Order: sequence, then C-alpha cells, then structure tokens
Amino acid sequence: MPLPLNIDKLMACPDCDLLIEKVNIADGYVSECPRCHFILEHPTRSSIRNDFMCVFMGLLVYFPAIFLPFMSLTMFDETVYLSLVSCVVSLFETANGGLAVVVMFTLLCVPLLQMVLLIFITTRLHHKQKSCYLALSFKCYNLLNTWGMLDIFMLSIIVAAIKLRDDAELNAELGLYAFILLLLINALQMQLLNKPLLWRSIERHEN
Amino acid sequence: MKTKAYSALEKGYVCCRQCHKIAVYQIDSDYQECSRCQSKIYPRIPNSIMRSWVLLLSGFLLYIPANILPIMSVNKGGDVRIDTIMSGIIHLMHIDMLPIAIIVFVASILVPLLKMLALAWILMAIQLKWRLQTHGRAKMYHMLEFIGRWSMLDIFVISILLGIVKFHPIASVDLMPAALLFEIVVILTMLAAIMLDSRLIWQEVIDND
Repeated sequence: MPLPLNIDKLMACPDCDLLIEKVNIADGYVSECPRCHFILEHPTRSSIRNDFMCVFMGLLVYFPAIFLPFMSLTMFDETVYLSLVSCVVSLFETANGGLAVVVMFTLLCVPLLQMVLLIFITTRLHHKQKSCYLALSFKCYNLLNTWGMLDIFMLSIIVAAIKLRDDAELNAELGLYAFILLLLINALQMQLLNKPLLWRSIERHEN
Repeated sequence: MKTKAYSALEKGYVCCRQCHKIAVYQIDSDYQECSRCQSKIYPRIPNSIMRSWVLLLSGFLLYIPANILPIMSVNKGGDVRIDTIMSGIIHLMHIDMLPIAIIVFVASILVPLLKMLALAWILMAIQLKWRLQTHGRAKMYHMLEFIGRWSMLDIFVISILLGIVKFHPIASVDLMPAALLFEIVVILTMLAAIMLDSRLIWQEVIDND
C-alpha cells in the first residue's frame, strides 16, 4: 500500500536524490543519508551566534594576515620581507597577470567575501531584520566555498621555506602567526556552519 | 521488513541544488524556481555529462604541454637553471629533500592525473550504466572534489619564490608558460568535477528486494 506522502515531511538527499523522511536531530548528533552517507545536517549549539563570533575574529586577523610580512629572508646582508599582498603585486609587476588574478582571487578575495557575506547574514538573522538579499548572499557564499585556498597556501609556505633554507637565512614574521590564526578561524567557521539551519532561518525571515 | 528506495525524481519531486529544498516536479516546464532561494531548479543539471567531458578533455590536453614545457627559470648569479615540473622534483631529490619532493610530486603530478582518470571513469560508468560499485564511485567523486584544489600548491610556491627573489640584485626567478597552463588545468578539472551532477552516479541503481 503506498503511503500518503506529505511534502512538508519529506526531503531529498542533495547528493544522491534519495527520498527520505525529515528527522529532527539534537545538537551534537549527525544525520546522514542512508544510501550514500552524505552528511545531511550536523547541528552544534547556537551555531549562528558562534559563527558570527568566528567571522568577527576572522575579520580582525584578516588584514594583518595579508598585509604584514609572513617571512623575511636575509641573503648577502640584505633582508627582504614578503607578505601575501606583495606576492600578488610582484606577480602583476612581472606580467604574470593570469596567475596573479587567480592567486588574488583564491587567497585574498574569497576569504574576505565569504566573511563579509556571512557577517551580513548572521547579523540580519540575529536582529530579525528582513532583507531580500539573504538568500542571494548565502548562495554566493556556497559558490565560493570550493575556491578558498588558504590551507594550500600554508603548505606552500612550508615548501618554499624548505627550498630556500640553504640559500638564505629565513625568519618567520608576525604575519605568519596572523595567517595561521586566520586559517584556523576559517576552518572552525566552516565546521560550525549549519547550512540547513541557516536556510530554514532565511526562509522564515524572507517572508 | 525491506522497503524499496526511491529517488525523489521518480516520485515526482525535485530538490534545489543550492538550498536543498524539495518541491513538486512540474513536468511541462524545463526548469522551475525555488521558492526559498529563487534559483532555477532542474531535475538534473542540464548537459552535465557533456560539459564535464569537455572540461575534462580540454584539461587533459593542456596537462601534456604543462608537463613538457618549462615552468620556471632560476638565475643565481649567472648560473641559469630551467625547470619543468618533473625536473624540479628530481632536482629536489638530488639535494636531499625527499619529503618535499614527494609532496610536490603528489600535488602537481599524481593528483591531477588520478583526478582526471577518476573523473573519466565515473563519467564512463554513468554513460554505460554500470551498476557495480556505485558506493565506491560516489566516494571517489567526493575525494576528487576535495583533493583537486591541492594541485595549486606548486603555483603558490612559485609565486612566493618570485615575490621573494624579485627584490634581490643577484638572483632572479622568471616564470615560464607552463605555470599558466598548469593553473588552467587545475581550474578546468575543478570545474569539470563541479559540473558533474553527483545524483547521476546513483541514477541507475535499482534495489533488488
């Protein structure tokens, strides 16, 4: 006998399109698709507020992380300081525009845009203000998710440092610590973000 | 008791790709608008397989020159070294930096190659309607979505080297065409993975109860 299907009690796994019944899960538990084991929801306690905190701290360390030099190199009594921004600038100056644009986008633009969008969404939701841009902002946030590459840059700093260590004297600078902090905060923020919850809140606030 | 598994589409529902809200499928129109996020909802991404193949093949075609052509030249006080990706790795091995050589090898040669092979395998499986090891393929798809970005490692290393040596009077680093080609390969293969609708992997699975 076919069961009467009520659309409000149904959901589909976004990854394999399996039709499933909606479940309410307690904080700290994870719901996953029974067929492909895609994680459907992973709620953490007051995730919207904590996410706001994360993004706020992230914005505080963002500018030191990109403008302060993360590495200094001494060779023949001459010291050179290197920051993320100066990397991009020197790519532009040596006529490697194609590379410079991608490096700038993945390391500078994506993290900043994501934080700005998320801070807009979380504050609007917290103050229960209506806005027609909420859904659009969150869509952009999700689109940018694949293109942030802070973690890869961290590994490439290590590789470059090891490559250069025989030729010159290297020192870690303040910018490196800011960058590591930004990286950790960014990872924490993605871990805390409960997308289904945010979408449900956006739906409630839009109309 | 065993129940049959249905995909949402079989039962007349569609799921929004962006916000995952479910809606009743309107058969007469090509796409419908999501009531929550206003995106267009297609039952499956249109031409997903075709677009993915095109991006993948163009990525593969560029992968060959990206590996043959030199990626950078280093000039240390008149002593010029021109490196391709592979010769750079071999050079790293010769100067006793095996761990770094392995990291660079995995990130810039192994990962893009395996990624393209895996994606071709998944696409072929969808087109030829293979039903075995769907779980394995789904897992593989998620893995390649995750590891694809790591190929950018070499590009970032080069930009750090360029940034630091630019100010130096004696040494200099110049980028060669392969750097740009390699970056395009990474972006193309990432787009190919995004274009592929993961729900197609499960399309042909029929539970025999």
